[in-house]
Parts: sequence; C-alpha cells; structure tokens
Amino acid sequence: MNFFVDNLYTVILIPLWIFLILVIGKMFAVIKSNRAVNALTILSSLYCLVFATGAFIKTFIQKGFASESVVPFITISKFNFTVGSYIDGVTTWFLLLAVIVSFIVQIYSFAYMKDDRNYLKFFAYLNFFNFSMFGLILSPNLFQMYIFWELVGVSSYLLIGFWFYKEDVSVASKKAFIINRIGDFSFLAGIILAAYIILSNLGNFASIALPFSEIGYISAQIFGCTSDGIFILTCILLLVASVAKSAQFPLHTWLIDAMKGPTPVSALIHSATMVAAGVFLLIRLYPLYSLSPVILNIITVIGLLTAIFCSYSALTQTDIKKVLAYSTSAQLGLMFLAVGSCSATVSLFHLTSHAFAKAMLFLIAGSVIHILSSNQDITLAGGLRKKFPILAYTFLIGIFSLSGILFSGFSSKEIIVMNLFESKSYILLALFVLVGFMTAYYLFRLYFYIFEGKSNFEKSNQPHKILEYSPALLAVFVVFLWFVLPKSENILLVILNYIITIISVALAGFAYYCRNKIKKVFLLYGISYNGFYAENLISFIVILYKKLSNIVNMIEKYIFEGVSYLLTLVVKIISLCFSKMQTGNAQSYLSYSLFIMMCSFAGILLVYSLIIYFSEVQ
Amino acid sequence: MVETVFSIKLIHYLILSMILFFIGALGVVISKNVIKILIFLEIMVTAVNINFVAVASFLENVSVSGYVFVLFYTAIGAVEISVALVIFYLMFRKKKSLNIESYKELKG
Amino acid sequence: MSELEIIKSITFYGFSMLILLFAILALVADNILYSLLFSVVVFFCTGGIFFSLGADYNAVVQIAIYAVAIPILILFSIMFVITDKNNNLNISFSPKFVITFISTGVISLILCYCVKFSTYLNPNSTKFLGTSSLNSNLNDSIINIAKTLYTNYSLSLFIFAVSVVIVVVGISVLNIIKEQKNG
Repeated sequence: MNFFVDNLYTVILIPLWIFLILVIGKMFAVIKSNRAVNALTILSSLYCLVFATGAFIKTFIQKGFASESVVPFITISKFNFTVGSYIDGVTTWFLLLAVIVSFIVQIYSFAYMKDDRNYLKFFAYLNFFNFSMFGLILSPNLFQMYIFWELVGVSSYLLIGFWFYKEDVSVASKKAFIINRIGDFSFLAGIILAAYIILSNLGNFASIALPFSEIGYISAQIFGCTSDGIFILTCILLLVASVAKSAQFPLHTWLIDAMKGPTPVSALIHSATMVAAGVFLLIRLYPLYSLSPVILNIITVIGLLTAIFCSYSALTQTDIKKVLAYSTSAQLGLMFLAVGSCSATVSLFHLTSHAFAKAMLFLIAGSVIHILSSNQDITLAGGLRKKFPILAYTFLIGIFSLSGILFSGFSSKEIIVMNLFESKSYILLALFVLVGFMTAYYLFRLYFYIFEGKSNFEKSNQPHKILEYSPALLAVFVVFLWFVLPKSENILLVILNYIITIISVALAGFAYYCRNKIKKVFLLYGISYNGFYAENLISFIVILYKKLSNIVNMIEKYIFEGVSYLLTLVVKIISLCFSKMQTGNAQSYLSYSLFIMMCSFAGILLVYSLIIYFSEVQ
Repeated sequence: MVETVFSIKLIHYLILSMILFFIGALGVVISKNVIKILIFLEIMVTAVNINFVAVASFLENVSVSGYVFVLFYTAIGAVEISVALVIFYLMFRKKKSLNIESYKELKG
Repeated sequence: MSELEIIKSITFYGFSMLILLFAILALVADNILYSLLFSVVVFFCTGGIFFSLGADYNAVVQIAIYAVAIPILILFSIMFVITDKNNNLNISFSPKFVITFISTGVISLILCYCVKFSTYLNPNSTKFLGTSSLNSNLNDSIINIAKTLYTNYSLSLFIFAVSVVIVVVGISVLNIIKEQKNG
C-alpha cells in the first residue's frame, strides 16, 4: 500500500500525459481510430483507479495517516514554492470518488459521443480535466490548488463550450468561465492576503505557501495575529472562491447554463467533481473557518439560501437537465450548511453520496435525452419505464438516495439531521426538512414525467447498450456506500423524515396525475420557473456595469484620448510645417541653408564670446 | 572717423563684396524667372571675385594667388552659365515655362 | 590724407555705389531684359573696381567675359524662350524672402562683429569689454585673417572643393546606374 501512496502523484501526471499524446497525435494525424482514444483513456483511468484505491485503503486502514511528497517548483530568494501531493483521509476519499465517477463517465462517453466529429478532442479535454481535478485534490498547498483551480475552470469552459458552434452554448461557456473568474480572483486575493499575514507576522518563509499539512498552525497564526476584520476578510475572500465554484447563491446561475454542454460533462464536472471542489476547499480550510463563528454562520446562511432557492426553482422546471442542475446547486448548498453547522466530515459524507447519485441521474438523463432525440423537455417524455426498465430502476435508486429515503443519501441526510438536532438549531432543522421535502417532490416529479404514464413520444431512438447499463455501475456505489456511512440512531427523527418525504412523493404523484387540472399560481410559479429572477438580477448588474463602463469610457475618450489627441495634433502641426517646407523649390532650400548658416554662426560666436567673457571675468 | 571712411582698406572691399554677395543670394531666392536666377548667380560669383582680387592685392607672399584664381573663376563662371542655359533650355522645352515654380521635381 | 588716397576712395565709393544700386535695380526690375542690362552695369563696375585694385588683366577679362559675352548668351536664350505669357514674372515676397533677408542681414552683422571681435584677440590689444583700440588694430587683424585663410587653410578649401566634386560626380553616376536599371 505504501507503494501506491508514495507514487500517488503519478495520478496527476498520467492524464496529462494522455492528454498530450492525444493532442499531439491529433496534430500529426497519428491517431485515426476512436478505438485508440478509448484504449488510452481507459488505461489512464484504470491506472488512476488502481492507485487511488490503493491509497484509499492505506488511509482507511491507518487512521490519521498523512504524508506529503513535494518537489520544489519555483524558488524566489527564500520563498520556496513546491508542488507535489498531500495525502490524507479526505484526499484519498475525494480522489477515489472523482476517479470512479470519471471512469464510469468515460465509459459512458464512449457510447454517447460515438458519432461526434470531435471525438478525440472530447477525450483530450476529459483527460485534461482529470489532470487538473486530480492535481487540485492532491495539492499540498494553496498555491498549487489555485493553479489547478484555474485549470479546472478552463477545462470546464472548454467542455461546456464543446459544441461551440451553437451560439447559446458558447455564451453559456463564457458565462461559466467569467463567473468562475470572480471566484478565482477572490481566491488569489485571499491566498495573497493570508500569505502576507503569515510572512509579516511570523517572518519565516517556511509556511508562506500555506501547506495543508500545517493548516491548523497556520490558521491559528492568522487568527491570532490579525484583527477580527482582517481575519473575516481573508476568510470571505477564500469563501467566495468556494461559492463561485460550487454554484452557490448568488453566483449559481452559471451552473444552470452549463447544462448546455454534453451530458457526460454535466455528470462528471457539474455534479460530482468540479462543483464539489468548492466544498472540498471548504473542508480543507475548515480549521481556518471554524475559528470564527461568524464565518461558519455565513457559510450556513449561504448554503441554506442556495438550498431553498434552488430547490424551489427546481420544482417547476420542465428541462430535465435544469431540474438536475438546480438540484445540484441545492445539494451543494446543503453541504455548505453541513460545513457551517455540523462538521467537515458530515459534509464530506453528503458530498460523496450526492456525487454518485447525481452523476448517475445525469447519465440516465443523458440516455433519456438520447432516446428522445436530443429533446430535453420532460413534458414530451413519458412511459419510458416499460421500454427501458433498467434505466427506470437505476433512476429510482438515484432519486431514493438523493431524497433520503434509502441508500447512501438516507445515511448522509440523517447524519445532518441528527447533528442539527443535537446542536439544538431547530430553525435550521425545519428549513432543512423543507428542502428535503422539495427535493423529494421535484425528483419524483421528474421520475413520473419521464418514466410513468403514457408514452407521448412516438419516435424514440434505441440507445446503445452502454448508455443503458453504465449508470447501473454507479448505482452499485450508491447502494454500497449505504453500508460504509455511519447510521443514525435517532429513530424518531428517521420516522419523521420518512413521513415528510412520503407526503412529498405522494404530492408529486398527485400533481403529476392531475397535472391538467392544477392551476398555476402566477406569482409562485413565475418565481420558481424563472429561478427567483437571478438571471435578470445578474443582467441588471451587468447593465449597470455597462453604464458605469460607459461613463468611464467617456472619461477615457474625452480626457485621456483628448490629451493624446492634443499631442498628436501638435506633432501633426509641426510635421505639417516641416512638410510645407519641403516645397521642391530649390530657392527655398537655399533660404533654409542661409538660415541654418546664420544660426550656426550665431551659436558659435555666442559660445565663443561667452567663454572668453567668463574667462576674463574670473 | 573721416580717416576710417576715406582711406580705403581691405575691409571696405570685403564689405562691398559681402553686400553684393547677399544681394545676389537674395535675388536667387526671390526671383521667379529662371534666367534672372542665373544672372544673380553670376553676380554672386562676381562678389567672390572682388573678394579674391582685393585680398590678393592687399597681401603679398601668399601661396594661392588671388588673380589667377579670379581668372579661373571667370572662365568657370562663363562655362557654367552656358551649360546652365543649355540645361534650362532643355527643361523649358519640356515644360514651356520660365517660372521656377514649375520645376519642382526635387519634391519627389 | 594724400591726393592718391582721396582719388582712390572716390573711385571706390563711386564704383561700389553703382554696383550696389544697379544690383538692387536688377533685383527689383520686372522685365528680364532690364534686369539683364542692370547686371551688365554691375559687371562693368566690377571691372572698374578691379582696375582700382591694380588687377588690370582681371579687369579686362571680367569686362570681356562678364560684361559682354555672357549677357549676349543670356540675351539669346531669352530670345528663345520669351513669350507674352512668361514676360512678366514679378519677384515674390514669400516667407523664403523674409527668411533670406533676415538671415543675410544677421550673417553680415555677425561677420562684422567677428572682424571687430578679432581685434580683441590680438595679444597687444586691451581687454575684451574695455576701451577700444579699434582703428589701429583692425586692418592688421583683417590682413592676418586673410593671410591665414588663404595660406594655412587653403588646403582645407581644396579638400572641400574636391569632396564637393566627388559628391556631384557620385550622384550623377548613381543616377545613371539607376536609369540604366530602370530603362
């Protein structure tokens, strides 16, 4: 097992290597068949899987195991910036999750992207994403994490905009990238501030790179050396990075638009791994955040707001992927809530159970979309259970898990409920249950719309076998995790939760079967369908920003450009004078030569007489 | 003062030649007629000649004899003006104009 | 002051006044033929100046070539080219006139100042801004300047002339090569 732990850093390098092979192979037209791409990708994933599993077993057996293997990357006088890998329980847990999801999504993509003309490019991007994601997970310090944080954003941008020739897709990818940039900027600012605090107060360069192995010490130093305001500023700067990456309120709108990318990408990046990186950062920096209750409260409030808003928005969406996207945002909000009000471990449990279940749901959604010939509207689907029972039952497993009725989702949700109950925060508990209620409602609504009822979609594609069966692979993990995660002991709460969920499911069923009779309450429906008008809010801000930039532009145009215009005007006038002098008439040249002669004579005489005068005066 | 004015020395000739030279230069610059320019060129050469002769006659034992120089200059001036007139005539056949403003090929 | 000196000065002033007068008249004359006639007077008077300086041979050559041969040459060329349209070309008082006028004036002043200034550089003279011993030293210093220019610096004059010739010849050769390439 030590072998795997020692060489875990290769997990970062192998996908990069495969990516380079694919890119260079494409460049020189060496790789022609999809089969070679498949083989390379699957080999890299298998390699990563083996190593991640080995490292996971090591940390699972040996509790509290942590090791760091780094090499120097940049040395600036005394500041030594190292890269490498830091391995502990959280890392291997999250790495294994990412590797498994990535592996299954890759298998799924072989079938899903089969007919795409940029097949190779897609897998090159996927490998690039793997490289950046694994690098992020394994980063030993915040600086390396920042680098990979950006790389993850870039690969997400590339993959969302994979079908860039559609205009809305390219707009969505740009939006995702720009909103992520807000977080990246904030992250960098936070890192710099923290490093500055460490350097100015400790004066040593050893922990300036903010390594995770000394995070407790560093946190205590930052907390001890600074005033409250600065500490909270540092934390909030780092927190905004998580908020942007994990699509939390109010920066969640990019995730909804990111659903325009290929569905495997949504399954891998926008449900399981990349968006979870924000929560991962929270968990990593939990020692820092936990020093101040204010920060924890902020995290809780952000998570709760996101959970409520996004769950409520998901209630009425008709686009299958949008429902899942809102759901993802909401569940990530619950993870934030768990970090803020319970502990990092609880959040990690929820992250894990959600990642598998949500990735599975996305894969099934991809299959459904494929069956419906690239149509994402759930009102057009229906009755798919009879034709594709495997899909239907795996979907059921997923939504059972996510809504906390059975399987891993049940465990993780119960842990949160128990923690909230024990910490006597009943309002939070009530709101959490409300979110659970809404979660169950929209998930079962989705199920009813897609798989139950009459099929009103005549022409359906027969999907590839892989599209049908590979989600089941994830279902295995969803079920299996149930036995790994700790169980709740409070039977009363479990029963209460069950009752509420069952009511919600019943309501969803009722609403589905009576969908023609229910009137839409205008305001409530509108708010929900438009996602609390967050989109409009952001457009409004953008418009304000545009106005502001117009004003700045005016200043730039009329003041700075005016100055430069004046300068050019002066130069122009002078050059005009000189070009006017260039008459071509020999007489004028003679006059100029006389003039120059006069000037030089006068100058020489003046200098000469001045020299003599001063020499005589002295 | 009277002595300065009436006893003619080298400086008087030099001032005369200088003024004549500058009148010639002025004439070259402001005339529009090409032939007039040539005439004033000759006046300038004459001014130089006066200078040479005056210096030669006021100095003894100089290595370059001013008189000989002036002879050469006169000859060169005559040759020069004949060549210049020929060149001018060739240009005139091209442009049909006496005006110096028409000859601006130097401008490029 | 002897008689000879008076005669010399009268001759000089007479001729020089005529020269300057007719040079200016030639300058301002509208008609090119008048201009030519006035310039002939200038050349004649220059011959007279040469006579008074004792350079008889030069005076004869001057009159023969400048006052007779060249005006005839120019007259013939005027006959060739003159038309009604080109007849009256007045002098133009453009900026170049102003520049030249000021420049020539200032250069004259500078030269005069130089000559005056040179007397103070004489080792026998008084201080730079002190009392003047102008008259006694002026002629000596001018003659010294002239001597220097025409003996010690004659080599530099030659070098300058040769280099100018080289430049002119070089430019024409280059033009010929260019034309051959083009043509």
